[in-house]
Amino acid sequence: MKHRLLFIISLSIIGSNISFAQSSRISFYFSAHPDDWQLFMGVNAFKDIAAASTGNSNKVVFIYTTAGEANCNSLGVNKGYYLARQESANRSIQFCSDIYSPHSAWKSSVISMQGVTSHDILQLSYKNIVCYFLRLPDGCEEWVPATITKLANRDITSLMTVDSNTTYHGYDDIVETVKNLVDYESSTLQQPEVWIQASDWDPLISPADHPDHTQTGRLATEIASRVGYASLALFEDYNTCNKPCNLTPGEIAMEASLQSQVSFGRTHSGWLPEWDPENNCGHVSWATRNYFRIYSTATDTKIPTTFLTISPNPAGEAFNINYKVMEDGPVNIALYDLTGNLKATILNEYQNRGVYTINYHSGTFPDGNYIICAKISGHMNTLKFTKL
Amino acid sequence: MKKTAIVIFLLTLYINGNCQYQSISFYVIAHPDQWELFMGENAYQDISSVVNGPQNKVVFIYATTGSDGCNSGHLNISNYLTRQAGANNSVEFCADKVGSHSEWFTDHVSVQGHNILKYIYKNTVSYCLRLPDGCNGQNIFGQSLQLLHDGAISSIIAVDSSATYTGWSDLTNTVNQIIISEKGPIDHIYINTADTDVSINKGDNPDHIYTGMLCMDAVNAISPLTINLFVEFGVAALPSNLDEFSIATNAALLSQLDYTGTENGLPSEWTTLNINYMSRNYFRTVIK
Repeated sequence: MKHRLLFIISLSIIGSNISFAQSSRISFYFSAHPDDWQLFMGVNAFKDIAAASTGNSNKVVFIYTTAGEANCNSLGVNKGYYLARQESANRSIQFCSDIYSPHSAWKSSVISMQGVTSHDILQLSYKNIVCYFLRLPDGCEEWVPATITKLANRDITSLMTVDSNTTYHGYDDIVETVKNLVDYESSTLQQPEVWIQASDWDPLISPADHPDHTQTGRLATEIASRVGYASLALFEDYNTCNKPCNLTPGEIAMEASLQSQVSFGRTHSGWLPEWDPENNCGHVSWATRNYFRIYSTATDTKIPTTFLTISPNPAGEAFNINYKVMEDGPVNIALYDLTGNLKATILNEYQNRGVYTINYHSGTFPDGNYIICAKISGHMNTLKFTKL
Repeated sequence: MKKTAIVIFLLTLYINGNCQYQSISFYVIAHPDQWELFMGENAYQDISSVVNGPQNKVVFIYATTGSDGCNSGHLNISNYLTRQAGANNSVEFCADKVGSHSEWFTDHVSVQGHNILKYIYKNTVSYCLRLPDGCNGQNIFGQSLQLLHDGAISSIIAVDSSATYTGWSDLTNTVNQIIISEKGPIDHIYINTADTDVSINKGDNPDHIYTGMLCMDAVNAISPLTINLFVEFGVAALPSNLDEFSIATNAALLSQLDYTGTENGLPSEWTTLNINYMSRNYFRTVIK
C-alpha cells in the first residue's frame, strides 16, 4: 500500500467538478455497458452533454464496448434486451441534451473503422453527441466463453460481436480500432482538449468491479496513453455505495435523472427497473456518489500503461503475470505480503516494448493474500491476489 | 350453480374494484407538474409501496391544463396533452417499480354530468378536468379557479369545451364524487394537496392554492381522512431537508416529465428553481 502511495501519482477528486474553460473540447466516455456512465460518471457526462448541446465547439462521444446483453443465466443472446438497454442509454442522452437546445432527430449509420482488420460499427448520433456500439459479448460471469477480458489476457484469440457483424482478431485489433475511432472523432474539431472517462481498473481503488468495467477502463487508459495529449478520468464503480454521498443536491438530481431515464427505458420495454432507493448499495446509491482520479497532461501526471494482470486469481502454486511494456526500459516486478515485506524479486531487467507473460511458481509461500508490485516504463502498478 | 355465481361475482368485484387495496391516496393538484415538484417522494412511495404487490391505490385529480398559453394568450391543446403525457410518464415510472409494464387505458367519464378525461395505469387513476390556467393570478383567459371561487365569474369552461361547471359548488361536488367513487369501501384515505394557509404556503401560484381550497371543500363531509398539506413555491427559501435517495427520486420524476415535454417541442422544466425544489419537501398533516 505504501508503494502505491509513493509511486502512483493520482488525484482523488471528491465532490468536485471538472471545470472546462476551453474553446473546443471532446469528451470520450468508455462504457462497458449502456448504463455505466450514467451510474458512475453521470455528473461529468451531464455537464459535457450540456456543453455539447449549446455550441458546436464541444462534442461528447460514448463508446460502449459490450452489448450488455447480460445473458449470465441463459444460453444465447437476447437481442431484445440489449436493444432495450441501448435505447435506454439514448434516452439519457436525449433528456439531458434537450434541456439545453431544441429536440432534434437521431441519426443512425454504420461506419467502417480500421483496426488490424476492418470492422463495421454502429454509430448513433444526436446533435453533437456520438455513440459507438461495439457490441462485444457481456462478460457477466467467468464461465462466459468469450469476453473482452479473456481476449486481453490471451485466453482466446478472437472475439465476435453479439450481432455477428464483425470479429476482432486479438486484443490489439480492438485497441487499434478504438484508437482510430478516437482519432477520427478528435479530428472533427480543431485542436480540441481531449478528455477520456472510464472505469478505474485498479482493484485496490475500485474493488469488486465488473470485469467488463475493469477491462474497458484498461482499454480507455491505453488509448489515452497513446493519444498523448488526452486527460484521463478514472471512476470508481460498485464500491462507491460504501462511501459517503459526495454530490450536491443539484448534482444528485443530474445523475439520478440520467439513471431514471435508463430505468424508464427498461421498464417501458418490459424489463426490470434499475431504480432501487430502498437499497443501500444499488443503482440509486451509485447515482448519488462520484469518485474519480485524474491523470492529466495539464498536471504532468503520466497516464499509467503497465496493465498488470494475474491469471488465474485466486491463484494456485503457479500463475501467470501478464503486463505490457509501452516504452523500452527497466522492468522490476516483486512480490510482497500484505504488511509490505518483500517476499521475492520476480524480475529486474531491461525490456523492449511489448506484451509479456511470466509463469511464476510461488513455491512454499503459505496460502493467503499477496501484492505484486511492478515498475514498468516508469509507472508503478500494484495488484492484489490470493494464493489458495 | 348459485355458489359458483357468487364466487364469480366476488372475484369480479375483487379484480375490478378496490378490494385489493388497503389504502387510497388522492393527489389533488392544479397542474400536471405540481405533484412531481412538491409531493414527488410521497407519490412515489404511495404508488410503489411493495408488500406482495401494490397495496395502495393512487388517484391524481388535475384541475387545470397548466400554464401553457399564458404568454401568448392562446392555449395550444396539443401542448397541454404533451404536459399531461409527461405527468403520465412520471406515474408510469413509479408504477413500474413493481410488477411488469402494462397498458394505459384512456376513458372519458361523466361525473355529475361533466365529461372528464380519465387515465388508468395499474394501481393509479388520473382525472383531468382541463380547466383554464389562472396564469399565476393574471387570469389571461378570463377564467380561473380563483375567479370562480370568488364569484367573479359564474361558470368555468374546460379548455376543450368538454365541460362547463356552473359555480364553485358544482366543481367541488364533482371532485367530491370522484373521491367517493374511487375510494369505494377503502377506509384508509390520504389526501395530498397544496396548503391553503398562505401564511404557511407563502408565494404559491393561485391555481395551486385554489385547487387546495377545492380539495378541502370536496372532502369536507368525508371522514376519517389524513390530509397532507404541502408548502410549494416557498420551499425554495427553506433548508434542504431530503436525503440523497429522496432527492434522486424527485429528480427522476421531473426528468420523466421533462423528457416528454422537450421531445415534443416544449421548453425544458429542468430549471435552477425547479432543481431547488427537488431537495425540499415540507408538509403538515391534518387528521380528520
